Amino acid sequence: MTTELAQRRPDCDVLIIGGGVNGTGLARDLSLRGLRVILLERNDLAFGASGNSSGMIHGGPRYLTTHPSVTRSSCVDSGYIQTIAPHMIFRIPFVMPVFGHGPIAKVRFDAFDAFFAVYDEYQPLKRGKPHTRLTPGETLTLVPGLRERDLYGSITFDEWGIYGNRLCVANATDAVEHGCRLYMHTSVERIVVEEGRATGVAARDRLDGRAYEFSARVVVNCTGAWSPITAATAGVSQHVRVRPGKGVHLVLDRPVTDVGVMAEAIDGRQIFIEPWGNTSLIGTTDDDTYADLDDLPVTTDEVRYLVEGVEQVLPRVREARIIGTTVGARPSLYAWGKMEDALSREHEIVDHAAHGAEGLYSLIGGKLASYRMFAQEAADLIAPRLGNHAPCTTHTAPLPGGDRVVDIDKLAARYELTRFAVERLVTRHGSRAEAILADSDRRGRTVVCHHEPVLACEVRWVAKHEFARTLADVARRTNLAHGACGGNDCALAGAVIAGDVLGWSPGEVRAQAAELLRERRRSRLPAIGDKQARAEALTMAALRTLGRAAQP
Amino acid sequence: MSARESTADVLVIGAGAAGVAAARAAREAGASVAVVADGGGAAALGSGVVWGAAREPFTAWAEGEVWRAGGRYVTVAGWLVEDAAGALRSLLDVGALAPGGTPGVLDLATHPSWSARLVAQTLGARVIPAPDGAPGGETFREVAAGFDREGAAEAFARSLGSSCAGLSGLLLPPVLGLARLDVAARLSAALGIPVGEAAGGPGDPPGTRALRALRRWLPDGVEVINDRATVRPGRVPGLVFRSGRLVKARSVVLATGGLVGGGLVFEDSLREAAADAPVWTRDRRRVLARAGAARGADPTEWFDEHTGRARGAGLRVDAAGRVLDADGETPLGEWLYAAGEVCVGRGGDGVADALADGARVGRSAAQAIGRRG
Repeated sequence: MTTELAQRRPDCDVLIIGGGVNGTGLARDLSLRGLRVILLERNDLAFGASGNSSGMIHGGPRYLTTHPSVTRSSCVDSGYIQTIAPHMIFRIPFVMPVFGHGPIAKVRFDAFDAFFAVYDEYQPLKRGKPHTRLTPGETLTLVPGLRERDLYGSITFDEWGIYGNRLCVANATDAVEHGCRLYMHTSVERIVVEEGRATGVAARDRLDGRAYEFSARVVVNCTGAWSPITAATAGVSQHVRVRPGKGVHLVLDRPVTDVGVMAEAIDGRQIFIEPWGNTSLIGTTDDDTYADLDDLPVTTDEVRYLVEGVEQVLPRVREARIIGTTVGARPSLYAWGKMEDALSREHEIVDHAAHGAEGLYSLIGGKLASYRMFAQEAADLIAPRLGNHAPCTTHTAPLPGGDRVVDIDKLAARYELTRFAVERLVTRHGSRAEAILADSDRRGRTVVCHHEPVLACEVRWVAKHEFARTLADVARRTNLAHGACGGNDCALAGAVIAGDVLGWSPGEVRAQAAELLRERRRSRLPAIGDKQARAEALTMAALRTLGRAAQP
Repeated sequence: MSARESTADVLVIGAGAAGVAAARAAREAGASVAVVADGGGAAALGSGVVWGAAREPFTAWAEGEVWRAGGRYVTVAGWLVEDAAGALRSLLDVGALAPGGTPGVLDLATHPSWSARLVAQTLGARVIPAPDGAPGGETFREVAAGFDREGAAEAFARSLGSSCAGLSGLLLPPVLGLARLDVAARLSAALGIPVGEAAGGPGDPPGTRALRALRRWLPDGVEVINDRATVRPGRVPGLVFRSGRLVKARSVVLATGGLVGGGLVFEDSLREAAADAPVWTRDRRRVLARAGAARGADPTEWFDEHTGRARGAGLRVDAAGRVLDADGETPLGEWLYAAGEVCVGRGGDGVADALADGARVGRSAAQAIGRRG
């Protein structure tokens, strides 16, 4: 194939491997500059770290002392993201309680105070409010149920939450609307390098087994924790070194607090609980992982580590039910002999010209908060080499749905929906919520998943317009089946609606529903609680009904 | 004996499939029987599907409750039962409704998991639009409650008018009655063709109807005590109720169900709820009680990853159905029996297994009384 590939006009200017935030961000940037782009994703958009992060475009005060440049760039980019996608951003004020007595507690408190005074310098960049000092009384008013014993006071600081999976989908959507071609569940088997140049890739569709060959002028490896594996297909893996750090989050069935609360784990690491839509997130662990990146396990130990840590400051976290876990592998930059937390979150563009593969680049490291800046840096490097000198516009051009603010009450009234349902729809789709609803009939406005809630017309829209190919893909984009019932109530309904768009047979519909239930169950089992074992056994029964019925 | 005390030969804890079958079998063996019912348990959350049911005492129970839709599958007061060949294919097999013709699938606007178009496409069936005024609702239960109303089945048949002409049968979502057991039969009579309903999920109307039918199957003379009981061991064993009442019995049958039913509870570790009897995993390891357990027992081992069956742990019993003690060999007491999903390895086939197991153990418990004298 190789000579043939080299002779014809390349299929695209830039072929991007990886549909995380770096890959979709770069695809959007290059597409907006007018380049022809193909993006291949092995699993689903935001399948890895991008969709399983703490979901914050924060400045990362964690990095302030060790990597202040990370904090700065994160804050700057956070400000831009608020401009281009206001609908998917929400404020999360954080409280950092300080416990203890006397001078030691005072020193600790003052140290945090001084630290966040430095962080305040960055806050205007992301429209954050300056930090405040709260007395124990004020703290308890703000966070009812916080541990009163030994409470000295607290510091508040301001962060922004974002839905990482929606951010990737929005970037991909905009890229496609500017000419990018997207291939989902398509894995690169080989990066073709001939005569010292990367000229394209051989890929395979993992769902239907179809083989593809794409020629390209430039190939970019944006596969996060998978980067060395991808690079290995071009023989340059020794130059792409990441140290995958497994990050586990727990999803609770309710917002346990109105604000985020910082806590310390048993080893002194900082962890937190944050309100997250209709749920709470507890995060996060950071451990080197050598497991299969496509199928990272969550263990009961990791769950206990997180819950016990938060319980120290917020005992009533035990009243909530854990309805799921998320897990992803951070693509931290490689270093030997450092603790995981101390690894760099900087990003790096590796040009493989020096490694015998001209035209091949690897984007490694990076953070959700500064993805856009990273993409711009890469595009600023790549585009001119392809003779394209168009300026970057990704910081001013709105992402799909981010062009204007939607009147939620008006929409709710017009379509006879609850404000809650419309608000959640708008959070995911911005102004495009109007198109989704306009495209629906009365039956389409049925609530499919009551926990989120998800409407039938949204499932339909996502299956049609957002590159979903499996029910799990639909679920990642809508939060379908991510609520307290674990999909018991909505998996089949979702499959019926998605299957109608995607042309599934009834057997396939049931198989997709059963697969989603299986996946959700797997995410819950390590975190199963006392009363939940009963509910879980019931979900198993549902799965069994579906599974048996799925047999031809 | 005070008013707060009574006696029975056999006390059955649990009024699900295993408990009802045990009570019935014990009564038929001549024992006096009392049954303890504490809420609906797993039976109330049934899906309406019974796997592998074609054996005793299922057929006995089914008698009088069966509504036959031909030879291929039957609903037993709502439960969709696997045919004798062993292959229920749910939506994919509608043989009973299509004896040599084309069945119809009703396009009822209800829970979004119901797609008449999709079902009809597989079955080679025709989509029949729902008539105006058909019972409606966003959930199957709401619609089923509509069909419960007096005359609703007949009125619905009339409103269908000629749209069912030429059909060999009519398939509906699982909505044929919530409290009433005769909706399908009446609708079928009014339409003059077989009527069927598709399998649903846990808690759907067919499961609810089946629980009613099951309770109705309890023989006369069996006292039903709606309360929660714990077993009090002793020379004459008894049950102590939350209400303070005491019932003395000569045999006790635990038919309390597994994790769903509440017979097994998960409190850091897995515990048997009524008698605190020793719990075992499938590979015969003791599941240690809380005090002795390393914290955070791994629940994943109790759930089968591949089949989704939750039957990885429970009580062990001897051939007669007596609960085994911590040594795994001797019975905990001559009088303590267990049946159904509370036993390790059971419950894989749900209702049918529980019925068969309950009947066997109930008989065994009643007969042992005669032998013990």
